[in-house]
Amino acid sequence: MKLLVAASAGGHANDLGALLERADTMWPDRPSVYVTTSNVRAAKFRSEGVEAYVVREADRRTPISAAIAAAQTLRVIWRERPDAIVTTGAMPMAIMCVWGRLFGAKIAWVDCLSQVDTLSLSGRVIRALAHLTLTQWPEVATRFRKVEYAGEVL
Amino acid sequence: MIFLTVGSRYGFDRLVRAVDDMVDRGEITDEITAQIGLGAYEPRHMHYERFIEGNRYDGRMRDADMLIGHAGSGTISLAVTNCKPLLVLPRRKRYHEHVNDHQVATARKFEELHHVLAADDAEDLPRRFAELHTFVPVRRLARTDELADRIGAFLFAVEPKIRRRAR
Repeated sequence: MKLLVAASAGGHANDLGALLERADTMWPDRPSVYVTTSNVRAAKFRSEGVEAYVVREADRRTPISAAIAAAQTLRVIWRERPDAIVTTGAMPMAIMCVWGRLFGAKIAWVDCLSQVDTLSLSGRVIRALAHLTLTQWPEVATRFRKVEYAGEVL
Repeated sequence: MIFLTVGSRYGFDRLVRAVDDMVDRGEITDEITAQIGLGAYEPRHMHYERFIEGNRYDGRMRDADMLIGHAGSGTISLAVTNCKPLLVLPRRKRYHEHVNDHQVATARKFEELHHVLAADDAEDLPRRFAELHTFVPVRRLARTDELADRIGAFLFAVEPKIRRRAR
């Protein structure tokens, strides 16, 4: 399985990092592609032999950056054609999930730990097309359809 | 030593200025170092750097007796895993510090669980900082293995379908 993992810098990357520490023993394959918004993170993954892409950080206040991120993530999906995507957000990675879905990838979206009493805007949009949507807070799972709680990184 | 950190994404002038003023007024006497990101305000009363990467950042975290920061999950996560007392000031949408007020909810939640102290606003920082000296954060028991395992189960479940597609 060609597994692509993705996270924006900051809390999102920490969340994903905690999951990747366990991927060796709990997931069928190690990720072969890593998508980030941080050059430092990308360099670290390349040094470990994992293909890494850096895309532009964007949020709803930065439509131009979002457009650039959309183009960059489309290029990533076009080149890599992942079988599955696991991501902890944020917005650029949500856009990438849309491209991934169009190219047939299976999508697992893990909403960020910092979303303590609601689902992120990205999460709310993406759960319609994701195959698995997880929140890290049990109360949030009870309030949103198609959203599961299974545990938390912290 | 105190480590002030605002995360890697946006500056946080409201927090940095408030802490700098506390040093100026003598409310903070401990040695302090600040990581201020892209903030416009440059501290006058404490040592600062804009970005501190990787190992050096972890080192700052380890060396600190107390932490002051924004209520980002990355910062809270590092404090909780290192068992460091952390005082947070949540970023607010109305000051254009973030896209929404989710940090207010994060701060409230982790304070309810006694993992951090949270200040409502900059004026509230000195009072909460005084409490930080005796604050002992509650350890957090996270079900991270269960979360990773659930994703693993999902990947194992979709694997046969992917194989079929490949043929």
